Amino acid sequence: MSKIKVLAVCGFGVGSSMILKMKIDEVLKAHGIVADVFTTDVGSATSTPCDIIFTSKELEINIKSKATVPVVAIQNFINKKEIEEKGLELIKGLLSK
Amino acid sequence: MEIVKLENILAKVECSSWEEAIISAGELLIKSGYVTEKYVDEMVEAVKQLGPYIVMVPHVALAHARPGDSVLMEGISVITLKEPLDFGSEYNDPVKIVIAFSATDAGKHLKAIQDISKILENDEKLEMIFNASDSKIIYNIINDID
Repeated sequence: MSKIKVLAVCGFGVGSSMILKMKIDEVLKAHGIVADVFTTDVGSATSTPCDIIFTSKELEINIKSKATVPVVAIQNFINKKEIEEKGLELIKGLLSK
Repeated sequence: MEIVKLENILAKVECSSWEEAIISAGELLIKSGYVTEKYVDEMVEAVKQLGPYIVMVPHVALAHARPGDSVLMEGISVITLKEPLDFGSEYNDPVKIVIAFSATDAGKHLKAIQDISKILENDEKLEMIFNASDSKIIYNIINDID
């Protein structure tokens, strides 16, 4: 995989997921990873084509049962370290496929 | 640069439940003509349906609902709580600051979100906002006025 599609999900795809997207963008950029990071609401999350999903702990349960891609639950959306620790290895793994 | 207007900030608001806290922040959005009353109901309903995920950073709730008819224009309000309140967030309770915002559509309000994230990523500023005794002090911290 040369370019990864990352989906950031919140209740409506307009607030929290935007902030999460910005932080994921920053983390990936810092590691030299090229990716499309986009946002959506929890209802459309599993029908949106992507390689990996990031969301909150509370929404994870709604998504995980239906998702066909890895789901990463983030507790603090502004914490780049948490995004790195929970998501970076998974993303690198997907890229090496 | 003005991120939040002074009239959209309230300090040390007394609320007895998370619903009251969201309504209090939402009333500022109504007063400024950003949203209709229905939007505030929608913000409360969102938490009831989707859970307390709006508490997405420790001690801060980002109250909002879907862009739609109840949004008249983009806006942000900020209240601090006299007594921290539990929203039911396993990791990020208790809530000390409620930021409410309205978005007209998902793409357009990126600027507002960037502004909000600037506030959220500065722990020191958040602590100062929470400790501030009046709205003018919060206004100066948020809008970065010395």
